[in-house]
Amino acid sequence: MAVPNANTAPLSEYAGDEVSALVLDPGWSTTRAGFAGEDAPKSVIPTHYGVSSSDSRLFFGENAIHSPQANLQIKNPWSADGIVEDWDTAAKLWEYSITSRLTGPKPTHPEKNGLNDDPNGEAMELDAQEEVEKPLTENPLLMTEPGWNPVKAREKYIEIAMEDWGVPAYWLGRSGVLAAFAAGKASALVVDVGANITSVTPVVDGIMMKKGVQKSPLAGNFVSNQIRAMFKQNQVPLTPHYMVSSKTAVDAGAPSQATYKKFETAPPASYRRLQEERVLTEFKESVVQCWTGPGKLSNGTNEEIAKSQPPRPFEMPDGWNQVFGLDRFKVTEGLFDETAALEDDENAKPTKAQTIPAMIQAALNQVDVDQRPHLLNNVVVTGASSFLPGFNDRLNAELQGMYPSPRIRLSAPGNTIERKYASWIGGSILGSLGSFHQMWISKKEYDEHGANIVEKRCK
Amino acid sequence: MASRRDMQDIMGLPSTTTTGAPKPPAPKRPKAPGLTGKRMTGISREVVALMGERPPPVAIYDEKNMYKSRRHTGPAKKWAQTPFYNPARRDGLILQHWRRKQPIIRTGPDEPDVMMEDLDIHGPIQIQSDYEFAKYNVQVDVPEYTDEQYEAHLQSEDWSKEETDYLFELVKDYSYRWPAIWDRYEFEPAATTEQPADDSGTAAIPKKTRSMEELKARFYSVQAVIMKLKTSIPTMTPAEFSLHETLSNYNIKTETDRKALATALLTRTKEDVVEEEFLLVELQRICASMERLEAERDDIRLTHDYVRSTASPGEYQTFASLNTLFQHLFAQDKNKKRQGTSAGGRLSINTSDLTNPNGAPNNHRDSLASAATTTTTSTAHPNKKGSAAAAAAHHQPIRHLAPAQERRFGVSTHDRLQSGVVFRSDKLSKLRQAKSQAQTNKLLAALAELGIPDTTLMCSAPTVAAFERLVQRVAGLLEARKAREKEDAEMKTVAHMLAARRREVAGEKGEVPEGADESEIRDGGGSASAGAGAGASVGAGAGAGAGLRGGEDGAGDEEEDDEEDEDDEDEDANKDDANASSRSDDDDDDDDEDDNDDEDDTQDQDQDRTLAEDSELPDMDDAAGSDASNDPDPDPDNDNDHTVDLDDDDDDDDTSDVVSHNPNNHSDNDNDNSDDDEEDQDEDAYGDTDMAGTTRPSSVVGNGGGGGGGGLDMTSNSSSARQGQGHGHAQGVDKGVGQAGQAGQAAQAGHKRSASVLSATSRSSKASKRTRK
Repeated sequence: MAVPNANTAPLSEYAGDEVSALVLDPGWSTTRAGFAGEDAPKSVIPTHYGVSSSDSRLFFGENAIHSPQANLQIKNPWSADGIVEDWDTAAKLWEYSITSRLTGPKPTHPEKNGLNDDPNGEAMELDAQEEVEKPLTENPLLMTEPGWNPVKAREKYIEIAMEDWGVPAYWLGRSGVLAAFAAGKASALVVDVGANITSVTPVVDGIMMKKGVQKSPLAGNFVSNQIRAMFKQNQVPLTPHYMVSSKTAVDAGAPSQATYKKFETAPPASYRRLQEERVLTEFKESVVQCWTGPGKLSNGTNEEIAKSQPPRPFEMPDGWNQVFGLDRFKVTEGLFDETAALEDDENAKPTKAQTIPAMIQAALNQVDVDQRPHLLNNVVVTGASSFLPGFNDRLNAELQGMYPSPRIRLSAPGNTIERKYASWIGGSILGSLGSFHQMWISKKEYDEHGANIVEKRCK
Repeated sequence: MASRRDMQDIMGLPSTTTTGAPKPPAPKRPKAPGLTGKRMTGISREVVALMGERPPPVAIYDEKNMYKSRRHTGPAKKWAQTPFYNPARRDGLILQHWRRKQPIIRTGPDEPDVMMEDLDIHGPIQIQSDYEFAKYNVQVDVPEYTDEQYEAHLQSEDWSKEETDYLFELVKDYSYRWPAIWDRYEFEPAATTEQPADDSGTAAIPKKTRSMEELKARFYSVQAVIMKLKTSIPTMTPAEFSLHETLSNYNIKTETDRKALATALLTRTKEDVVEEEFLLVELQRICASMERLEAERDDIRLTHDYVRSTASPGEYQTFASLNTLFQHLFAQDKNKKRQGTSAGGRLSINTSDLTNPNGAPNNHRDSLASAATTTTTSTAHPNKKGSAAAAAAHHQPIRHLAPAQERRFGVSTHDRLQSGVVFRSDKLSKLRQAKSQAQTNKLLAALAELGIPDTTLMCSAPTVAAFERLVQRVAGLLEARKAREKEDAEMKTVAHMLAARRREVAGEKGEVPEGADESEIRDGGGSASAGAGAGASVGAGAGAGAGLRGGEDGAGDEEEDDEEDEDDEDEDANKDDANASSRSDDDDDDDDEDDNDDEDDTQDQDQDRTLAEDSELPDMDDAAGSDASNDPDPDPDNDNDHTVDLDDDDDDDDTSDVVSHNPNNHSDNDNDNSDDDEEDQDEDAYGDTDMAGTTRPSSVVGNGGGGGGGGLDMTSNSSSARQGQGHGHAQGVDKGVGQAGQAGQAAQAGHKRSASVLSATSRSSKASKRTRK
């Protein structure tokens, strides 16, 4: 809480008025939650959850899903289209993200919630939901949604918040708009390169241009799959951490000499997949790079230049190691050039319309021509996958190539938190503004108008 | 006071200790120039004096001005979650925020950090009802209309009332943000079931897609009508009236055009952008140098103006006055010079700017664009000279225009342009001139025959190119004709000599064959060449040439018109042969022969004789037919080169003509097929002929040197031919005189050359056939 004193900015400039609102920014990879007015989400949990195949118990949180267990299936409530699929679990997961760190289980009813009870985290929380009528009755809730969320899904959001959680006030913001707010812009072209979906959202005067919203699956997971395809081509063994007991150093390219852990029953494939993704994330963070342009990687001598750059080594959890030269550029090239994407039976070739430059072009074409130069001057890049080295340079080069005359300016915060959680931060800013409090959908309004009110109020 | 301070000083006590009394200011000392003038406090006078005039080595601050943490006396301020009601809301939502709990007793009268002084909370359940952010709840004014008004004034064919209502609602919702209104405009008539508006917004409204201009036009027109209804136009304030004017003058088309223009501006190519930048810079530069030029011109005008004599000439009669005048004029001149040198800018683009070795210099736009590029990231390029201009041009990739566009914009490409201005008409008149007067005359005669006027009115580039081609082909044709005449003449001479020799031999033997006519002799010569040519390549060439000629004659009948010129040549040659008494005469009289040709062209020869000649030739060549079939790849080039050599002996100018025409012939060859001009077809044929002779420019050039030798050989051959005849006779070989070595060579020389010309003509006929097809 910002305590006004002589050292902080005067209230009139700050224009904030915090009402202990919660901001929940659910995503495919992580779910972010925190109090409005803070500069980073306090609670960031993986969206993947574990479900016990024996008793269907749900396991949320980083600690629960990463321990290898024989009967722990890993799932994700989101569909591949970037829309919530499994509403029941999603609601529980979101609730967990808020109650586990922020509000906590209700401290009321001490006679029922005896301190001598077994403080089993998940169990208690699930119990609490039953015995306490609503978990979030004190805090207004601001949630983010993707720009392409259908009306039904939006109504479902507010239903969950109002009826399951009992929030006093609710608001639903588009993540693209909020990301623009986080960058301090009311009008922007937001390029959000997430884990599952890359989206382009034109925002004019704080209003999302609905027709211009573009999304495509060429995002972080796409790059992961490209890496998998590349590994398959080059016979690179992909062993996740949990399988390795100990490893010894081996020469580059030599087979690993690790001792593996023995499992009576191996964890399910979904678990292994998740753990492999973690290795791939390491690989993406340390090896992969975007070709910075100008031009595509396949153009002229670009491949030669890329080849001449020093290769980067990578060591698998089992000790297998190798240096990666041109391949580390190739796996990301598909984001910009559909013809360069690696293709195998698991990965279909992307279309041209799915590439990021094509999406930006399509988004701009759906916006009034008077706004286009302004939007190009305010391109906001967010999403953790945009941290691929050279991504912004490449995007800039592509945009310059497409639009040589208007001035193009990319705005991508260098701060990791700000880049990764831009839409959450935008929600935090919005939810703490004094002038925003007239916009909440109150419980009373919801009761009066029904779930459809979200269409009228949260444009 | 003063005494105590003095006492302290004397005792050496620091002035700040022991007493909380305000410290005395440091004694005034003479202001040092380096010091800021601030008086130092907190330090004894002596210590300050020790420092002298320099500033102290450490910063000394007055304690009074230093930061003092604000000391909060009393208990901590209490904060409480205060519920508040936002008047901007109508649903009575109570939210809570943290506010300072107002204490009953205020601790200090001037606490600057109490921001909420107006808070007046008497109890914990008091709900604050004046919310400071409520004032930001601003609604836009959207004109409203009643149903009656709509019925009376706002009817529109295109817009239903429902849709107009919907539009006004959107305008209100989105506060006149037209991009957003247009984006969310999804009006569906009430009849259709409400479609779930999903993300594919464009697909959801298939019926009416209204452009933003249509929406604006409707809204503005309605607004204007409502304004007029509210206040009639005469009673409007100026502001209202101007708004009304703006609204009622909204023009959809102008706005749509403007947007189309903006779109075009946005989707310009990189070249366009660079070009525009360059043009702007160029414009600036031109404007700047225009001023300078004006100034210079004024100066020149002033110079050329008459000397305004303020006094009579008598004034300059003394030395001093003349000197003054000189000084004055000198200074003026010097001034002018300085101005001239300082003027670095130039008004126009000079030729070095325009000379773009790679691109299209005629295209002003392209040349500008190429000159615009300044960055040099040059990689090796094959057709670059490495000059700076080349590097600049080379960085800018040349825009390749379609052929249609090239024609439209008048773009042409050149290997090299010479500097300066060239008139095409000059070039035309130059083309009419050959190297020698005789050639010129022949050329002019040919042009006159073709009906080409002496002066060409429209010297356009295609005209000049066509004329150039025509002249080249006429020249080539003349060349071929001359060569052929010469060969025929030589052949005749040899034949005559053979006949004479045979007669002598026969006379010696006592048998005088009466039928030893030319045809027999020719037969003998032909067999001689065939016999000798079995091993020698020159013979093979001759045979092949003869074979071609034979083939050509078959087709020659169809193309009597095309061949007419050649037939004339045949006649000329024959006539010359008939006139020529000896071979040496023929050689020497070559120039005369040229002159004769012109006369012969005008003369009307009887066709019978021509046909007789033509019929004779195949007979002669029959013997060589086997050679032609044995040697499928004859080398007519060599033969033709030889022809040129022989020409060189006679007329140096001719050889140089051939050499100089050489590259042009190549270009002709390229253009032949694309040429559709009916008149040019014959010319094409001869152009090919000429080309066949000069396909190898190096060999032609080389023969220029070896020509003299060739000529000498020829004469020696002819003389040795006579000796050879004697020799052959002495041996008594009756297979034919031609089999005798040197005589055979001489005959071959004759035949070879004639064959080369014949092959050339046969090619010409073939080429003409090709173009006909």
